[in-house]
Amino acid sequence: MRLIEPLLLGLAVFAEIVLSGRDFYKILGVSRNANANQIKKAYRKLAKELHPDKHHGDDSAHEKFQDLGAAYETLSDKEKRAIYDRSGEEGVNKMGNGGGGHDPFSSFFGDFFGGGGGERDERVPRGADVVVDLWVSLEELYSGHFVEVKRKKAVYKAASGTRQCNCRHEMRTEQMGMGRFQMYQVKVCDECPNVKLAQETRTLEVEVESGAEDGDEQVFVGEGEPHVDGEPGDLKFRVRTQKHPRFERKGDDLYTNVTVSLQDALVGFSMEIDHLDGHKVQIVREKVTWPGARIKKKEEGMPSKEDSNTKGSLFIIFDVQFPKGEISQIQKDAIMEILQQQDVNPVIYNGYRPNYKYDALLSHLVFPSDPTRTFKKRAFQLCADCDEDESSAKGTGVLISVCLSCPTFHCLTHLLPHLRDAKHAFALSLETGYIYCLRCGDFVYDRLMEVTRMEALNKLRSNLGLSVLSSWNPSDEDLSRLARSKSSDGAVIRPRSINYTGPVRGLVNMGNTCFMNCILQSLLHSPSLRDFFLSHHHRCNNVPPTSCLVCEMQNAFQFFYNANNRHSFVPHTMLHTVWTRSSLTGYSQHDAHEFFITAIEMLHKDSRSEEAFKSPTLNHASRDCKCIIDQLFTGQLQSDLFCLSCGNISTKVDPCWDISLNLPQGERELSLERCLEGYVCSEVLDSSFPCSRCRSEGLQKQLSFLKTPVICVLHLKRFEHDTHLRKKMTTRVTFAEKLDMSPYTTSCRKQPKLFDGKNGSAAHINRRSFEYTLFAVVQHEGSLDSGHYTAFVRSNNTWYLCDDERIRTVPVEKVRELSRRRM
Amino acid sequence: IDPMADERLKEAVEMAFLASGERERVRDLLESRLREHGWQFLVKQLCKECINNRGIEQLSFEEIYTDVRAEARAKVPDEVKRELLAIISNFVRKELQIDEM
Repeated sequence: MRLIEPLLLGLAVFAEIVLSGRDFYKILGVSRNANANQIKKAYRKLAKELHPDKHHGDDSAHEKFQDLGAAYETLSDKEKRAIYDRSGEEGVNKMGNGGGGHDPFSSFFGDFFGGGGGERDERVPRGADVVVDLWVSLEELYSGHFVEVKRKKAVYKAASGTRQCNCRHEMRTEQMGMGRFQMYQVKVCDECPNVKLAQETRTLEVEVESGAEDGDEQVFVGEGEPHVDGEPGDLKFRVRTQKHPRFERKGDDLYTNVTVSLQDALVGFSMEIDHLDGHKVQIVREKVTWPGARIKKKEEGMPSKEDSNTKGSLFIIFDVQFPKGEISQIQKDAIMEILQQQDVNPVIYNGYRPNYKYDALLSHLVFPSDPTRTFKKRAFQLCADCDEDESSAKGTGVLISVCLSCPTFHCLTHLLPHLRDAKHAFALSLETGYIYCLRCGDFVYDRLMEVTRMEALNKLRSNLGLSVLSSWNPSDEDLSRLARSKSSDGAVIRPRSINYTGPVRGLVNMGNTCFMNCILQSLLHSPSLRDFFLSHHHRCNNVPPTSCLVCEMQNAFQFFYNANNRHSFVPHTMLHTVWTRSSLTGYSQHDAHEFFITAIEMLHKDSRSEEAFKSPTLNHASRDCKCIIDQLFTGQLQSDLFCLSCGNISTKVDPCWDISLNLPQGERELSLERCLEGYVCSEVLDSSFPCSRCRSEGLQKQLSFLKTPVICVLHLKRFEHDTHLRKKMTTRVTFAEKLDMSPYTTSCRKQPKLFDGKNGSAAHINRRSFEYTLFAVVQHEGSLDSGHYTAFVRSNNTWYLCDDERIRTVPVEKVRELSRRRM
Repeated sequence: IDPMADERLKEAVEMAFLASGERERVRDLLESRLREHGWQFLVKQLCKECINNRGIEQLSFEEIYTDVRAEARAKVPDEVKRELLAIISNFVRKELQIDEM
């Protein structure tokens, strides 16, 4: 029948003027005589772009995708393609080879569907993943390539009978009478259809994309090790680059070396280099080429993965081959005549240590071990051209540098003119150590020089007993990653999600540690603290560094916000630190508020010792401390004592880290604002506090907030210490998500006093209004002796309930209506 | 009356300032104070503005410096100036006392 069909169709073709089917070649964008590889590549590229997952609701895209699929199905199969070439789509359809829609794709599409196919259910057992290194050459990576791999794998096929599966051990308890129980293990299995292993061979096609990197993986879902009770694992092909005899790849750039003859080096030359795909790269040199000279050829590197139209650069490093053998005297004379270098003397230096000269300059002039020596050289250095010197009282822009050819000193404005006029190439800045170059007209930066400079600087610093500065330099891995991640708008690094939207993680209770867990959860969700700790601001100078609570906090934050790990974690090291350094030891319940205060104090103390190390001249009154705790939590409470008799007002300002509010007795329900009112309202003191001026009694004390902290911690004192009983107050305190503290501040309670502070000095510090937004609530349930703490925290507008390791989202209403018994 | 005595004293104090490492410490302190007050950030903004105005090609340190200098100096917070001045005058006072003894 097959033979007849083409003949019939052949007749049909003559009758048709225009093929009524689709033009598959056009759909794929390939020419009529494209080979199989080209067709595959074209299909792959278009399939990615037109995949329906990318164009939801766009029907034309769906249609296009289907067209694409049909086009590929036809053109990839030799027979079908032949028929299509002769009789168009109709001919193919008439072949009756329907179905099989996915077979040509599945060898390809493993990663497509696997990648988008949703999360694997953790409970289904999986076979092992198989990872195979696929060694490819640079040529293949340059142009892209398809590798056919035959895989022999074991597959479970149905067999007759049944077998046991999902076996597990269970504990059974039996009563032996007389109240005795015996426990024993029992193996319990399910029954499922029997399976047996069979060998199957499949041919898979791995596509090596042009520009693929070493380590890139292509995943074929379900092609790995099979599992008897569950799903098979995945097969991953990892791209590995073979060493190339001529080129070295670094990111998107290629490096190669060329050795030229001495003659070519001196007189110039032109040459060609064969590139990876065979095309030739032209190199023309007219000037002198010295050993180590480099030239850069743009767009001749490796194609970038995202955009195969842009490529990296090709760097060519030249070496010069000197003629071997004898040179006759006549030749020598001729050479001397040409080069005329009789007066150039050899330069002797220590080449073993890099930058020896630079280092010597730095250690003598800029960062000397003996400061007195340099002082004599540096002090009162006047610029040769203007009368500006370093210690000029007017301070009119100094930056004195010394010319390295003639030892004259110049200020910044006169440096370049001097270098130009005297034709001296370099100068050295005396304060910083940077080199100024005449040709560039600016200070220059070189990585190796910078290393030397920092070493010299740090040597000086450690001699003086100061902390050593470290600079971060990207590792090679970082550099290659940066090179790869160029996005279309020119930014080098693609921003990851700025707002952490992951689920909150739980904290495991280590034995009545719920009080710590709740406070920890609250602290972990404070954005300011998070920003501080995740940016590694803390440099630990504490001894021993293992008991520094700030380090522990930093570790906790880093661990907690690690997006790779979503499980609950155990803050045992932090617990240990707190135990060893405070009185909150033992496994008994503790007060969360007490823990909070202890933690705050410890963090403050540990931060302060770092401050002390940095600058011992700093005054350590707590008002001056700029540690993160003080910046965020410390407010200032002003206490005014009015004397009604003599009118004397004595004011005292104390720092405070939290606000403990008493709950007035006898009320069933009141608002948080009223509690605060009660806190700051005036109170008449009794006779034990007479006025300091007139000694009369009846002083009126009023509290107000001189400075409200960035993070406001409110503590509702629920435990009443009555004479014999200690009972918990069950007054209901209502609060909203926003709290306005302005009525309780000094500026509002007294005459309007211009309230300076950190408000206006720099544009980036938010103007602190007095409105606070709630982000955590710690709740205590139960009685005084036995109870449980839970915390509600907000992460980017979603509220969660944290009950040790159990985290649940809760709608915001539930937080609002809590019968709050916050401690 | 030795007219050079003042000069020599000044030199000696400055030498002590440098040799004891106090100068470096004060410099560190200045740097951290300026950063805390957002001055560093401000200057960075000014520099960026300068770069935008002048174009990044062929721009030298000197040009940025002359553009930014005046405003940057003006924006140093008084608080910081006072603190630094206090520290330095303290140091000088201590040095002179030790000398005169």
